[in-house]
Amino acid sequence: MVPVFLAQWMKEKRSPYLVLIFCILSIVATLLFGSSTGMKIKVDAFPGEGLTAVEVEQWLDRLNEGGSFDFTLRSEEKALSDVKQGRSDMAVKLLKDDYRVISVMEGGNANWVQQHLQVIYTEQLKINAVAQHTNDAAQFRDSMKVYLEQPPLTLQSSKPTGEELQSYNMGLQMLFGFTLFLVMFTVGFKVNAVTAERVSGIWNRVILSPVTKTEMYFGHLTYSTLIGIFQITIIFVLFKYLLGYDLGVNFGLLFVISMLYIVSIVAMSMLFTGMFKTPEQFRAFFSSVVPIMPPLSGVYMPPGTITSEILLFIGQLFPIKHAMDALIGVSMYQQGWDDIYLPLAKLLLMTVIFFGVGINLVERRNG
Amino acid sequence: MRAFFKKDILVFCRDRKQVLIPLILPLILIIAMGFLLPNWMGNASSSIQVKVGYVVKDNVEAGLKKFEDSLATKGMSKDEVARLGMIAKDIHPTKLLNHVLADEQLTEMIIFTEMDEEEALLKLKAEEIHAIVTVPEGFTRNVVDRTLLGEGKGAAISLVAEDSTKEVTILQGMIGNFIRQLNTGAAILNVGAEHVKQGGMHGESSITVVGGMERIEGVDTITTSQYFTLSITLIFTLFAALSIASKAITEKREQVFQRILLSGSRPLSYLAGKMSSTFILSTVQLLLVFTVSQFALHVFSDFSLQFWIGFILLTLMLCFFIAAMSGLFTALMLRINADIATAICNACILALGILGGNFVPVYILPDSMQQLWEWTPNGLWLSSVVQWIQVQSWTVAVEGILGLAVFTFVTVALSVWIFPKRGRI
Repeated sequence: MVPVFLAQWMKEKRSPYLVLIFCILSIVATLLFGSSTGMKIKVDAFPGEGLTAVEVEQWLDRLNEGGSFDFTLRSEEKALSDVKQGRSDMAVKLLKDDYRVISVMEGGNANWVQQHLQVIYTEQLKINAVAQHTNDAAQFRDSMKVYLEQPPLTLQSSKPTGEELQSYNMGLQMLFGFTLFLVMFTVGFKVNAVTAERVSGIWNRVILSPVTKTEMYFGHLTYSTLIGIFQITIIFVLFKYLLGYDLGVNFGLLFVISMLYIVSIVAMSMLFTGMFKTPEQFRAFFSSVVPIMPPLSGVYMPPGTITSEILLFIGQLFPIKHAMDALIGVSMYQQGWDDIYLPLAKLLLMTVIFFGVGINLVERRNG
Repeated sequence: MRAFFKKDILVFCRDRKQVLIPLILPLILIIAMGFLLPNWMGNASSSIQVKVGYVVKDNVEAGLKKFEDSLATKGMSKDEVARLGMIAKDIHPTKLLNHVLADEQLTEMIIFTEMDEEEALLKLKAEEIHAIVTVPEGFTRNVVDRTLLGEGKGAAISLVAEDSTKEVTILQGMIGNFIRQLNTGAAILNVGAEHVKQGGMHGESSITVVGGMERIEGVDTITTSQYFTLSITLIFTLFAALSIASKAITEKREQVFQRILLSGSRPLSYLAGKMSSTFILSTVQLLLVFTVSQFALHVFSDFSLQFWIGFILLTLMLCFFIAAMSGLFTALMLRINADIATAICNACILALGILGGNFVPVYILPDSMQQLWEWTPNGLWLSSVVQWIQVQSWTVAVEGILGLAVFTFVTVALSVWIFPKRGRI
């Protein structure tokens, strides 16, 4: 087992570019996505006719108060051309005591924004209407503010345990998603060395040597697993210590989940190896199948976006779904062993099935 | 060159798995998405159902009674007490809340079931409901006190949920809006009473309906399924180009390439053969996927002939670019170690796919990346087609075609430059 493992390592030492390229790609991708996504919905706003600059400022302040939207002032041309070119999904035109939502794309967030605008505008207009009838409008507004500091009704959100209900950290989800997605490529291409050796005849020569079959497989698979773990660890450490992401407290648990995930990906790659004859076929298949797994498992979308039962079931078939569940549970909700044993068990089950079928296929092809 | 073209087509066609995967996967995806989730990426609020357990601990009657009693102890006149009592009955918040929750528009989206606290907690644990909304004890009394008399501290509706999922966020937003309206109303009632001149409280009726959706004139809406069909097919074609190029590794290993050189053919015609076969295959692939999605799912219905001409021209230009990409990949495979070349090519396609909005719609991306969108060839094509669907103006199409031509030219030049020179292989 050790010589096979070392042979892989020597190859890596001579050209470490593959691992490096994917490491860099996943760091860059997560940085770009994770940095800005947050949960705020960005909306471009531009002033229509008959609105002074001060009034525009006031409206924007009011609209941004809630915290879940980020309205920014743009010029009319810029905002409209962005909407036309599909770069943003909507723009808002502010009018005197009125507004228009401009959108050309279906879906998107237009309905949400419309609702938000409706509430704020109606409220503000009501206040304005009453203020017209007062002697001193400024004083009226001040007293309103004082009264609303202690409003008759409030909403308290909490968990059943009484803890505060945290808002969802989409940036963290993106970090996990991209890391798990890109590590699939590294691991898959490493396992592909089995096919490459079979094609080049090395595999047969090693079979003739005293090394047993089990050792051969173990050598390859441990190496691929270690490379995968190495990549994930680097990225997590970078994000935790260099960029200050909050990955939760339980680093050991995160490590166990990542390891199980990598092993299941190694097993999945083994299954694919059994299905194809040459490393090129494997790569072609692998690189067209892997990119569709994360979207089907809902990795790029906030939880709850996918509602179809069938699609949810399909998502369950890929290891990335369970690994994401467990990672998010541990880092965001501070879950422990009891809560995440189910996703982990599913990962293990997949690993066993993939390995069983995969190695069988490889051996059958050999014979 | 014709011989090489024929060779590459044959090599590709003989490998049935490889032909079928890039053809069938996008079709399966598009059909699956089209049928399962008409609005899979948007906020398909119609498909969301929030199940809520509604726990009322408050006794409305008792609350109102206490309120009236407290008025009497304050030494108010009988008429006054009766008047405020009437108002309190009219506006008491539980009734208003029920009214909001029973709103017809919302009943489709939100299902309220009244239950007691223990049952609700059990159901929440079993994930039968998404959240519990509790109206606490003394709720009516406190709210009415604060609203009508400006006394006390008011009351809080509590919302209990496991995590803040989309359903919970929607519910929070709804109740939040309701509370906002009620609070503003109360504030106006209280503060207004001090400030408003006599007889001036009829202002509320003058509020007109505001807001509305607007479309840009002459611009058609692009649907999610259209965007998805375009973007997913594009990324698969790029991967298919890579898989054609990676045949070069096999040919290098089995020394086909050396034999070609010995036969006296020009090496560049080998490259040209790769590019031309990729062009044909990607054209067939793209057009086939679009045709099938058009006839099976009616993705692009109701478009004029002019639209189709422009669309096909843009797509052909894209195929030229994809052919050039496969030439570049081939050159890389021959020039450097096959594994590194594959890694570079895959990374390149992934980066293009992310920046070009092929994996997620581009408006989700951060601003800095949105600016890069049209500077990637696939993003340029996607953006041109999106605009072409919206407004069929030829300037858009011609700009897109010219831009893609520049990309194609640069890529071809790059691949010829990278391609190993005579005597270097």
